[in-house]
Amino acid sequence: MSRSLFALFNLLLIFGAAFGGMALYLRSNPDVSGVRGSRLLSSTVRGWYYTNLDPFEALFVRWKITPDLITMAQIAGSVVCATAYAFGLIYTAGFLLLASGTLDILDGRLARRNGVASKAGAFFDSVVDRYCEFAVFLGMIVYFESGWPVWAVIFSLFGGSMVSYTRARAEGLGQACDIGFLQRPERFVILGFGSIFSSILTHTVGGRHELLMIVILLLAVFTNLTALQRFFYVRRALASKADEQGAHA
Amino acid sequence: MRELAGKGWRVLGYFLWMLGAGIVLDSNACVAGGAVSLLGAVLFGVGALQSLRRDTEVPS
Repeated sequence: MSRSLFALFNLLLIFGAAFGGMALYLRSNPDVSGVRGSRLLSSTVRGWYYTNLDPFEALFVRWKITPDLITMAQIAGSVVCATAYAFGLIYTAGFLLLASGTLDILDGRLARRNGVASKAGAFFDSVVDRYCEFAVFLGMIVYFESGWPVWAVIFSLFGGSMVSYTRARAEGLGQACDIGFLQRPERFVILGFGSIFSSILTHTVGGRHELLMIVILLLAVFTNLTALQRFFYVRRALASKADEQGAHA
Repeated sequence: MRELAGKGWRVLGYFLWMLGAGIVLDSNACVAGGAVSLLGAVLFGVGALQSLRRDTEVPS
């Protein structure tokens, strides 16, 4: 019990520091016009997070660390995260998920900062992202072993892949598709913090990570809805393009 | 490591602090987790002090 209280107290301090940092950031009237936001993660929240990564970008540039090396670190982080899920270390897994998500943001920003952003790099990053996602969900399947949570994990994994696939296929057909309620950063944040809160709840109140199960169920529903949202959006956009071309012909 | 002065140490400290809390909660390694948390808190404090000093510094 005292262990849980210590972690709970620590967590209150952690959230206090985060909200304090956010308040200081907002007081400086930041310009976030160049940052793309979503309903769940606004441009202000993203802008604040990106500002926190600036010192590390500068350090990595001086140390000549390449974006690909950061992507490799992301793979290692995801494998450790998956192992933590498999062994039931849910808080640590959630933390590692947030950390590897941060590395995913860092590699792209570092590539742009170094002026080495390329299509080959973006392709490598996208493929690695899919494998990392698979590893993390596999760890969860090992943890839950059986029952409906396993099915929820499978549907979440499929939904997440379909969200990426619909965008990739649409872009292959010449149609931009960056819409959607639950894109990758949102999924990371929901699952990461969901795991952390679930662990605290389980250690203080008891239970078997019911909160994590609910989070995965919500992910299973909303990732597939996002994929469908993209499907209908792209189909409509491509159909109207075809109509326009027909009218011009 | 001058790039980390202020905000960088604060963020790194924050991450370590969070990791320490996780180690305490997930395992029986209370001493190791507590040490990681404490190290994080110290780094966070150093970063906060550096930021404060920079904010109150009179430009020459």
